[in-house]
Amino acid sequence: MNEAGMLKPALIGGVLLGILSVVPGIHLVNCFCCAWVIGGGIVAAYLYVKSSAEAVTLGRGAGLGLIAGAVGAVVDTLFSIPLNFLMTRLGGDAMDQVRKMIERVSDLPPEARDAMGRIFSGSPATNLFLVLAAGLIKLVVYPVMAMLGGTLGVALFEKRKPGPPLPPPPLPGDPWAPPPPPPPSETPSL
Amino acid sequence: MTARAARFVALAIFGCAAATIAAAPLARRYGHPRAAAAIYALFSSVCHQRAERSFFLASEPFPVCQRCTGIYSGLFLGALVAGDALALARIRTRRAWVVGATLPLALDAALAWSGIRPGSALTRAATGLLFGSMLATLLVPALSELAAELAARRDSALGRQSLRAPGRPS
Repeated sequence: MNEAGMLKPALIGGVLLGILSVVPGIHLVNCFCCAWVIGGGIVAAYLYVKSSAEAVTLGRGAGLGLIAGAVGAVVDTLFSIPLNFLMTRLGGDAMDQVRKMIERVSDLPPEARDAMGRIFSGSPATNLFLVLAAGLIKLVVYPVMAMLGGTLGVALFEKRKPGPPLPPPPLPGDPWAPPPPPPPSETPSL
Repeated sequence: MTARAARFVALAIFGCAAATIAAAPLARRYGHPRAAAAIYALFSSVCHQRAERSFFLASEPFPVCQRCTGIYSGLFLGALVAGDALALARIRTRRAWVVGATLPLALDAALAWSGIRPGSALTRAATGLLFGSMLATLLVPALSELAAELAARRDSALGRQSLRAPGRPS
């Protein structure tokens, strides 16, 4: 498996799906069967098929998707932490207003009032814990979904027939390596 | 990994997913709210979970919508019947299968989203089922190929290590 050639498409697909999955508003597209995550796998497969000299197999597409999904989960979680703090700080006034509205509602049962109060007064440590817990779930879900995307991408974009696998390059100084092919003989032009 | 082993792995993964989806409403109904909440939270990252678009079991909604229920069921059923036939089939046939199974789902979703035709539980589940089966028929040979490539790479690395080992007759 050509890992060096796989890394760049997987990184591009992973970073793309990670960023799109965390941007507020745009991330809601993921509610449609993890569309950004599957899309990231498809993008990674497309880039790899375009750059590969030989026909790409479905298995490589699956491997590529796995890497892209793992990268995407890490990127998503890394971006989520500062974004979550920013949203909490910006939304502080709005939260105060919500708390005041809850206090104003007279016929709300006390247990419901307590529960809603707890929800709207999450501390930064609680928020960080929730983001990291969500990150762990994403580390499982994203690679599986992106693997589907990678497989789908290869099935869509690979038009060449897979040939026999290329032999690995010989080690320098390996006495057991086959001799290099002779250079093409120059025929005298008449 | 042989094709049979790849199919077994895919069946195990998608069978677990399908069983977890069915377990969530039962857990909520029969006094295991924490387990139910964990499952609903797990699937909230992959589905909108709107109750009016979900199937119900024991008067509780599934943790995924009707379309996703169709997709997960299709993944399981597709893995049951998938073989190497599709991997060996012509590239054009494979692409036609991918496009043909994706188009109904995309069309149904687009018509519902644009408000032209709201769609029904049956169309959402059926288009999801077709899409999921298509994914499984690609994924089973893909897992088999991935495992074979990784095994070949490991064998190649082991062969190189034995070449580098001292005391080898030259």
